[in-house]
Amino acid sequence: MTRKDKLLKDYLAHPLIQDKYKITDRRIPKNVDDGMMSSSPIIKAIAHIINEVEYPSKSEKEVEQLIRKLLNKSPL
Amino acid sequence: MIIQSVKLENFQCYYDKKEFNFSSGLNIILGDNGEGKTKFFEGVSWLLDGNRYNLDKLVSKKKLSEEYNNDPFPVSVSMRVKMNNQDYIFKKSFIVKSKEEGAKTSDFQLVCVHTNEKGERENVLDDKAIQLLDETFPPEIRRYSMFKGEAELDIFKSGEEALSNLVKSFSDAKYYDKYCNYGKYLREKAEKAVDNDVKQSSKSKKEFDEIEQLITLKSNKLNSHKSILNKETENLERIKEDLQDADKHFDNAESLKVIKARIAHHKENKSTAQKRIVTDFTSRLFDEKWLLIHFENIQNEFNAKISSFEKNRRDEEERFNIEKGKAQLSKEILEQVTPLPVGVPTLAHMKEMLSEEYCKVCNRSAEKGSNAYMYMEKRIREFVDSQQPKQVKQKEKLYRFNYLSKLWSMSDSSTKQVLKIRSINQEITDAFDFNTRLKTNLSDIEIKLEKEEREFQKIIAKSNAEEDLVSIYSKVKEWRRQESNIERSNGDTNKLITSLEMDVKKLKERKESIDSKDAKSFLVDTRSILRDVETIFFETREKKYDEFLQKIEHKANEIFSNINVDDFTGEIQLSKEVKGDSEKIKVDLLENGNLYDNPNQSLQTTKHMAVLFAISEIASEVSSYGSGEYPMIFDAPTSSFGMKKTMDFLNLVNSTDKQRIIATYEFVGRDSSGNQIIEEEFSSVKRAKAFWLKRESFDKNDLSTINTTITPI
Amino acid sequence: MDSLFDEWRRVIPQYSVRFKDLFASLANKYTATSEKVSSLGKHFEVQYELYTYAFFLGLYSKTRVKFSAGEKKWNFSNPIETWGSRRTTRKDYKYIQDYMFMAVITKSDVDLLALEKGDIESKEIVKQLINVLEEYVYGGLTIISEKMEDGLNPFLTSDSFLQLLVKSGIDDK
Repeated sequence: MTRKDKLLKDYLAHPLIQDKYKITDRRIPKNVDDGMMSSSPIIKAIAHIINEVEYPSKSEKEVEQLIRKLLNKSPL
Repeated sequence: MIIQSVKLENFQCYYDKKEFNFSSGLNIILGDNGEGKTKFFEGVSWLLDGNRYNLDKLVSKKKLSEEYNNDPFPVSVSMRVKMNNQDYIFKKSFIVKSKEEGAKTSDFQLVCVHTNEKGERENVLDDKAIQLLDETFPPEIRRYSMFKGEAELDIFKSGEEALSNLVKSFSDAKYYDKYCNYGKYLREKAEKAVDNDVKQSSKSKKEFDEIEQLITLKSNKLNSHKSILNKETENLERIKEDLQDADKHFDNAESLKVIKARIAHHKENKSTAQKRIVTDFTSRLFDEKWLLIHFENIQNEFNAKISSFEKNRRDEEERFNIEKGKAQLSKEILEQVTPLPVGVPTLAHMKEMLSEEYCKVCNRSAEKGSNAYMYMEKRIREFVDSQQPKQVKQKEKLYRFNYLSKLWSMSDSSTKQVLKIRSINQEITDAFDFNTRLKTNLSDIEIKLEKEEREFQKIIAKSNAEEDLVSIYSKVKEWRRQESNIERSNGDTNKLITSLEMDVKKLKERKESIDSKDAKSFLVDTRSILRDVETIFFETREKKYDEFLQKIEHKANEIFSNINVDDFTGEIQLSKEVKGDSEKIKVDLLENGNLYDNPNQSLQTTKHMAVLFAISEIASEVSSYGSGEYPMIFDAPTSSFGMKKTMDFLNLVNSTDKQRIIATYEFVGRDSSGNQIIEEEFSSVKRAKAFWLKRESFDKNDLSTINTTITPI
Repeated sequence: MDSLFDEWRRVIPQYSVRFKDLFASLANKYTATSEKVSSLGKHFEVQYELYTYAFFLGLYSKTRVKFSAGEKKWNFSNPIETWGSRRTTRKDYKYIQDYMFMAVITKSDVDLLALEKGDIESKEIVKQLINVLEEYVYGGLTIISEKMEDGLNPFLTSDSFLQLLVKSGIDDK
């Protein structure tokens, strides 16, 4: 397992994901690539952040905007 | 990675070339204090981290003093290391140029000869060499691998070691750090977006602005109070530490007082005991009459002799008297059968007969000159004599002197002393026994005295104690006053903080309610998600940190229970502590779930060792250091243990199979002639290798004689 | 009339000059405190102590040595009657005079009856008694000096002389 996938796994293991966002185990993505495609906004956000942090290609500001765009577009 | 050898050349007490050849597992360096153990450690440290200053202080004085050699000579420390089937020889060296007023040294250089798995060799210098050095023995590993003395083992002392350092070096948890910052940043941005949106809508702008201002105001106040609280708490901690030290001081001073009194008492007993021990046996021969020990027989002989003399004397005297008496008697018998009494016949008749020259008794003439005439004359004489008053006539004696009487009384009085003479043997034996007991008693006292004096020295060394108790007392008073002041003000501050926090919370809630009403919903939603993201990032990181600490704690306790076999029955606890703006690690001992106060030095050392070994094991598991194990080097880590515990400890370390180089002065002793020896007990210490450092014939006043030799055992 | 004892102890007994060094090394010449004595390495505080000791040693080990003809004698100018008087750190031990006297009487062949009768002069008897004394002392000093010639100093400890004396009577049958 690559490091970023592990990070995703650890983060998604947080109780908030299950309790507040009601995301069951089944729906938790196995890797970051899948996560970036997730329909859940929070998973999507986390996956994108990880992707950027581990392989930085954008500045922080750009990431922020990206996140915003993602969140805007996805239905809640 | 293991260290295969360390070579020192003209480095401090290591004159010329000296080499340590190490193996994996436990390597023990034995040496009395000052013989070179610490210089070895310093040599390795210098190779790894040493700076360019004061190189002249590192030069062997003995080499410097060699008069016959004016050529420049090198000073170096080199280390051969093996890692992943690759061989590295690192050498740090400099040249000493002239010796007129000490050494003039060149700058040093670091060289590495690197042989890779295929056997290909390359020589690298300086920066590249440093890089290789850091790869083989990374600095963050070194930090937890090399310790000079028992005190250095406490790496977490008063929170000097930040948890983050440890994490950075040995835990994956470090990767989670960045996300916290990101999460915070994103959340802040989202919040700002919401705020701006609300502000743009004129509806509740005024109220919103007011609330924001209030929040800012109160938050600032809150922050300043919090930072005051932090500062004061730090001060408080320091004061508490000072108070603890003072307590220890008092304890020490008290102990010292007690020990001093005991020492004085023992000294007194010692001198009394010494005085009582008898050494003047020869004089006692005379004073106690022991000279007479075998005199009894002679006394008896003397008594017998005197007695027989006395008897003989009496006998002879008796005989003499008898003889004399006899002579007298026979003389008288010769002249008359039965002599007539004096005065018969009467004087007148006798005179008449004499003048007529005629004896009228026997009717015959008695002419002048005849026997009859002479006999008549004699009778008249006798009669005349008997009428005279009697004169005591000196009797004729046998003995003129009486020396014997004095001898007799001497014999008599000395016989009364015979009992005393008979008891002399026992008296002498008793005196010797008594002396022996006194000597045993004296040596007991001396042992006790030595013990107390050693205790005394130990305490003095620990605490520079003997400081003025009065000044400490006054400091303590001041500290206590400060302590209660701070505690009070902290209490007040805390109350303030709590109420401010409540205020801010309420204000924020109000703000939230406005937000939710007035801001665009997706902004609010985004904000909410990013808030959760931040929470997830923070909490996950904390969890990772905690897991890491627990891992160390668990491993440390495993090791701890092995090292500490017969002593303490509790365990080590590692916990996080926020101090200022970083998290520190606290290492405590618990017994039955309760904090164990004031552990003694050897228990502390065991605790530190357990943690360090645990860290070392974990380091070897961490993926970024591909080589797994690293050696650990300790200089005198177990001074407080004593021999038995050190033995147990070393045997334990040996069983781990990891390379550990431990220098100690334990097991170095002296024989009866004062020569250095290795104690017998050392033969039962299991190890891969051992070395004995000895200084050759050292003259304290002439440093140029220092030369440490390394002898494998 | 002087007792024989009194007359005897007015004498200053002598010893063979060959033991002069022995006296010098073992005994102190003039009285001194016991500390001074031991610091000088001597066992006996005064010379007559060594003399007395040698007498008893010779007596108990039945060792009596005659002077050779013409052998020079030496003495230390204290008559017997002064021996053993009390000193500051020591007790009175004049009793040794009595006992030595008794011993010499015992071991000599003096004809006391002749003395009593006046056939011999007390001076003559005293001379014989002193002779016995000196011969036993000679014996004792010989034993001591032979031990010292054996090489290692056998009198290193403070109880050496005591032990020697104790052992001297052991073979006494």
